[in-house]
Amino acid sequence: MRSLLIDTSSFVMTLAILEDGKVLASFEEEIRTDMASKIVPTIELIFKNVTFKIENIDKIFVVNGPGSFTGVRVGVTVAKTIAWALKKEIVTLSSLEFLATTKIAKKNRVVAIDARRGYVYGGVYDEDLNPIMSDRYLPFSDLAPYLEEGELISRDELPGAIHPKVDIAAIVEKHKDDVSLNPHETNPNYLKLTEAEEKRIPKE
Amino acid sequence: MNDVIILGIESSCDETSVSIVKNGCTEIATVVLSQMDTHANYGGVVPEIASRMHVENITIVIEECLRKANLTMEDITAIAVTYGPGLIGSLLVGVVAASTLAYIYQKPLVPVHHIAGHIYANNLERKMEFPLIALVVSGGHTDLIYMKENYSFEKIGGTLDDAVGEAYDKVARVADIPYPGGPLVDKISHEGKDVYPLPLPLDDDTYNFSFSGLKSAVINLVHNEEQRGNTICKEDLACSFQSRVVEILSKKTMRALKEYGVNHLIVAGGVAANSGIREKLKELCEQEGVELTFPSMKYCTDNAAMIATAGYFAYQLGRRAGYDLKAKATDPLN
Repeated sequence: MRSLLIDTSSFVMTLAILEDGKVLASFEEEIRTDMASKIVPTIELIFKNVTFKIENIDKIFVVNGPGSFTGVRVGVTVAKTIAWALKKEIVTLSSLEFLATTKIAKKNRVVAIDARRGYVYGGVYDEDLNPIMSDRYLPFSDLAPYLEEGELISRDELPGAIHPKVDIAAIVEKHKDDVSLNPHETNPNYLKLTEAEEKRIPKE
Repeated sequence: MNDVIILGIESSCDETSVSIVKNGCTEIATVVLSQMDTHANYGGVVPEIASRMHVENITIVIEECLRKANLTMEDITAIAVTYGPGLIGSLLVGVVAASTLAYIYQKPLVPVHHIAGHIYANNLERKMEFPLIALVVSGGHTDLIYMKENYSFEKIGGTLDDAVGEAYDKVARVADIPYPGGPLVDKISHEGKDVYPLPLPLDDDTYNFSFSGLKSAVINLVHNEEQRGNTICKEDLACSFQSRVVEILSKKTMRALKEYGVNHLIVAGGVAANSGIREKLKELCEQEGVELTFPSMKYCTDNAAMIATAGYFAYQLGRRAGYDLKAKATDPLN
C-alpha cells in the first residue's frame, strides 16, 4: 500500500510518502507563515524522491485537527481535493494522537495543544496509541491527574511539556485498515465552535 | 482555433462557487452555494464560519459544476481562482483547492483579482468594448476604473472609508431593517419620499467617494428623532439616503466618462443590483449617448462565472500562478 500523509495542523508542516509501512520520503519543517502556499509545491517536491506519482498512491492520511483552524483547513482541503479528484481512499487522523507517537519512558502520553486563556486541546494515549482520554477542549489544569502515569507532550510552551518527535510510520500502521471516508464528508475536527456560535447559544 | 475552457473558483466571502466558461463569453455551468442564510443569524458574515463552510462544500461544488456541464477535468484548459481581495480564511480554501487541482491535472493556474471578475461579468452579457469606465460598487468596494484596453485597469478613484454596500448595511442596522439590509433599503426606498436633509457626500473634483459622513448623518438623524419622541419613517429615510448615494455616484461617474472621453460605462459588483443606481445611470447615459452595461442580477453577487470569464482574458495574456499562489486579503487591481 502506498500512501500520502498530510499534517498542517500546527506550525510544523509534515508531509510523507509511505509504501508498505516504510517512509520513502518526508518533509517536516517549521513554517510560521504562508503554509497554505507551501503545501502543494512541497507535495510536488517530495514526489520527486520516489519512483511513483501521486496518481499511484492508494490512500491519503490527513490530520484533521484539533489545532490551528486555518492550518487544519489547508491540509484537509488539499487532502479531500486529491482524494476526490483521483478517487483515492482518505482517512483522518487526530493531531493529538499523532503527537502521541513520540517515544517516552512513561506509560501514558498526555498530549496538549495550547488553545489560550488557560485552555488546551488535550488527549491521553497509551503506548499503543489507545485513547485513555479522548481528544477534547479543556482547561490545562484538568490534565494534571493524568501526569502521574504520563508525560506531557506539546509543541507549545506549556509548563513541563517535552517536545514531540512524531513517528509517521507508527500512526499510519495503526490506521492502515481504517475505513475510507467520502472525500466530500472529510472535514476538520476543530473540537470547538466558533466564537460567534458560542455567544449565540445562550440566547436561544 | 480550439475552445478555451476555464474552470473558475470563487470563495472570497460567503459564497462557494465554481463555474465553467468557454472562450470568456459562454457560460457552460455555474454552481453557487450561498451561506447567506447561515450568516443572517449573526447579522453579517462571520469569517470563521464562512471558512468552515467553504471547506465543507468545496469538492461538492466542483463536482456538481462538472456534472452540470457534462465535462471532466480533462476537458478544462486552465483553472482560474480568486486570490484576493476578500476574507483571507475563505480565499485560502479556494486557492488551495485550485492549486491542488492544477497540480494533479497539470493545468495552468490563473490568478484572478475579485474586482476584475466583477467587471468581466459584463462580458457574459455583451462583448466589452474599450476604452471604458467601470463603476464597481459592492460591500467591499466603490471604485471607478478606467480601462484603456482589455485587462488594463487604472483606478481613478475609490472610497476613502466605507464601501457603498457597507454604508447601506450600516444604515439598515441603524434603521432596524433586517439583514441583508442593502437590498431591503433599496426596495423600501421606492415607497418613501426624499424628505430628510442628508448631506451629499464628498462632492469635490476628485473621483473619490466617502460615505462615512452620510452614514453618521443618518445615525444622528435617527437618534435626534428618537430623542424628540418622533418615529423615523424608514421608507423616507431609505429614499433620502439612496437619493444621496445615487446622486454622488452618478455625478462622479458621468464626469469621469466626459473627462476621459469614453462612451462606454459598465457597472459591476453586488450593488450594481441596486435599482436606484440602475435607473439613474440609465437615464443619464441615454441623455449623454453613453453605452451602458449592467451584469444581469445573477452575476451581480459573487459567483465563479465572472472569475472564469476574467480568467480567460488573463489566461490569453499569459498570466499564470505557481502552486505557491498566495491568497491576499487586500491587493491592488492591476
